[in-house]
Amino acid sequence: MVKYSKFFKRAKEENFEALELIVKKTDRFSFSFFNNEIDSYKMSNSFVISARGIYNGKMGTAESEKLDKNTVDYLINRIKENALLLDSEDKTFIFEGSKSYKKKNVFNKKLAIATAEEKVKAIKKLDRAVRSSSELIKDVSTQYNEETQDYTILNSYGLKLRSKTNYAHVYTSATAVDQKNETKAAFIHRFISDIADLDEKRYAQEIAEKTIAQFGSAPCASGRYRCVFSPEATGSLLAAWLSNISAEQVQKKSSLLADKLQQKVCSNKITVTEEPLRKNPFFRYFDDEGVAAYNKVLI
Amino acid sequence: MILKKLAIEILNIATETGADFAEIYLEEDSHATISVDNGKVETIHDVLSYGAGIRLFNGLQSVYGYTNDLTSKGLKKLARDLAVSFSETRKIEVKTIKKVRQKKKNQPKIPYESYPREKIVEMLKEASKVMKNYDESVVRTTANFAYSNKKVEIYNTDGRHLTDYRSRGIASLLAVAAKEGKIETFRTAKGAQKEMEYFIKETDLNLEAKQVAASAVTMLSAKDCPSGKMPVVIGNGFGGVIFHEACGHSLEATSVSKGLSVFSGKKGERIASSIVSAVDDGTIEGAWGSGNIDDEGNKTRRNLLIKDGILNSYLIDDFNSRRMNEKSNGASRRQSYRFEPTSRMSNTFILPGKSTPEEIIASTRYGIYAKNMGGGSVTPATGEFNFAVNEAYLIKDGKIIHPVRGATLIGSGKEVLLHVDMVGNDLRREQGTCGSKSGYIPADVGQPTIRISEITVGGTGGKVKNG
Repeated sequence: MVKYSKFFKRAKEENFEALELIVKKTDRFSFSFFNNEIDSYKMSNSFVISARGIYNGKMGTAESEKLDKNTVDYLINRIKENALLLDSEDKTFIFEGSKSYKKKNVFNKKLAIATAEEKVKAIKKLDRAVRSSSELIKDVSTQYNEETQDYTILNSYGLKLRSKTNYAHVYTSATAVDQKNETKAAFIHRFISDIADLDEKRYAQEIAEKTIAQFGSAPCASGRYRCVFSPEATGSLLAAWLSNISAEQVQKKSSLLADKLQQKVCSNKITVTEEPLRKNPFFRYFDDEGVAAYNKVLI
Repeated sequence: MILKKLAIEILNIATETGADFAEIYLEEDSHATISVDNGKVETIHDVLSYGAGIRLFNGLQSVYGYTNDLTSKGLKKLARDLAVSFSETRKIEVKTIKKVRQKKKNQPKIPYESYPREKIVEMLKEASKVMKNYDESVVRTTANFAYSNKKVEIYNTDGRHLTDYRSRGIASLLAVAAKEGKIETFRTAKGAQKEMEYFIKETDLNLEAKQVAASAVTMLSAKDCPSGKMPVVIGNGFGGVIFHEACGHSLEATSVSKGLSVFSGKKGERIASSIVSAVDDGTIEGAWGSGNIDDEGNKTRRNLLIKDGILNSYLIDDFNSRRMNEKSNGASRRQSYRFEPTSRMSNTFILPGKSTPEEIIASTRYGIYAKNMGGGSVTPATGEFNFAVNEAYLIKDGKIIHPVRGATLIGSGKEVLLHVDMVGNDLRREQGTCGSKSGYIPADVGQPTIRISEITVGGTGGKVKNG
């Protein structure tokens, strides 16, 4: 059991204005099939403690995966030394905490209690379904990755927030070879919260169609076209453009959206929302500074 | 990091259910990043990374696990948990382990962490100033220095115990230029396993700073790139990223052993034009991607991948060597203990040819000079790729005419190698971070200036006017 009070006590003794700790404990379990035989099986547990503190008016940071009697000294000394070299004029502060938080329990008990054997069996069935979905499918590789994370943020103002989440990710790549010996490849993936969520027939059909649809394709002549974007392609396009919306880029004038607040930046058919409170495997009711998460309209 | 006696106990626990091989990999890595943003020291971040990975083989099955708990109890528990994957009787037992000694290269005499950070900050601030002062359109600059001091210890059931110390530093620069609603971002990096003095005195970081700012400013006034099939001259150094991504990854045993690479089963066959030879060389003293030993404890090697256009060798790790029935060749790498190692590139480059870069440009009637490559994507099973060119110029009648923006190179690794018709004598290696199955690892990419006789170029400047 880690006594985090030691870190705050030591920070106070060293005249820190404030200190924040983020503690992440992660368990991972994964395996992969190649042509319906297990070829890899992995498991792990890991720990990391990240600290940032205000010393001499500047924000120093450090982190450690080693937890022993020297960890407090390591983190506090590194933060102090680093803070003394900083000369950024940005005002620094550690967020004290929001008035209220919209908590939700997103921990998937079914996924946590299912045995490794049950998961292996379900993925083997899925992998087999992909293999038998078409005669043209030659090689199939399916990976199952499961992660459970226990995330805690604490600060010297007394804030303590904890979130425990788990999810699984299933990824399949397939190659198909046609009569002309032409090879095509495709992949699909799903985030799931229960292995029962996997519809192997639909999954197999989707990847088979995605792979085989590429046969007989011809190069597209360059030019200006009217284009229809699938939701997946639209997501990729928007994700690339939306990197411009980060405050870091905007503040430092390296964003195409700098100084454009309340101005027209794209077609009026486009509305983009940021919804951290949506119940999915990535839900957390607070961000990495301890600010209560809330949904917002960006564009 | 752990005693030999404990290592033997752990290896024997790991193999009691039938594994025919087991390995313990222990790592302690102290790394730091110093970042100067717009001339101000904005962050300095220290990380102590610490953990161990245990790997078991049973025929063509591998089992891997890792933990930060390096106590006897923690490591034995991990070995027991992994051994549950098999249910056979014991095949091997470790009785003794012998320390394998190797020459210690690639190690700075003064560790990076002992070097005064004030001097590093001074170097970064100077480079930032050069970028900022280059032109008034430069709106943002960042200059970073990152280093890593990694101690590695490996024990395995072949009775081998190896230790290694790996120390790397990298200085990276970024310049953003903006004008009339256009933004251009350029990056460069210089990395090595050398003394800090190498970065302060031998590397002309200010010259790099000037060039990166110049590229960003130049591209602000570029015209739209024409599209169509045409010859493309790819500049030396980072131009080698196409070879790395579209050909190099397809030569790794990870995909070759399963028949998932376009180059599977092609050893001894022509896969490139006869003027193309390429190597992966993990032995270059002090180079960014080099190593004394690989992450399975095997000596690193210079592997001749392509000789005069003929496929000569793959990059093979111990596990995939079982599937391929070929010996591993010192090419197994991983980001950290969190990753199971597999075949990866180290310093990979096309060897120099006979033409001067000037001759290559002069003999091109119409085409594109791709001076600076950007990001791209590759489908490993087919080798099809798509790469953006960050800095490109139109070539007409043997002369570079003007910069062009938005150029994309579209092709396949298999075809592009066969269409190389000129290779320059100006080999240059540059430093990057390569991401794949076993994480992100330091790797050099490189090549001399080369010409592809014909490749599809995407662009918004209208169809190619051939001459």
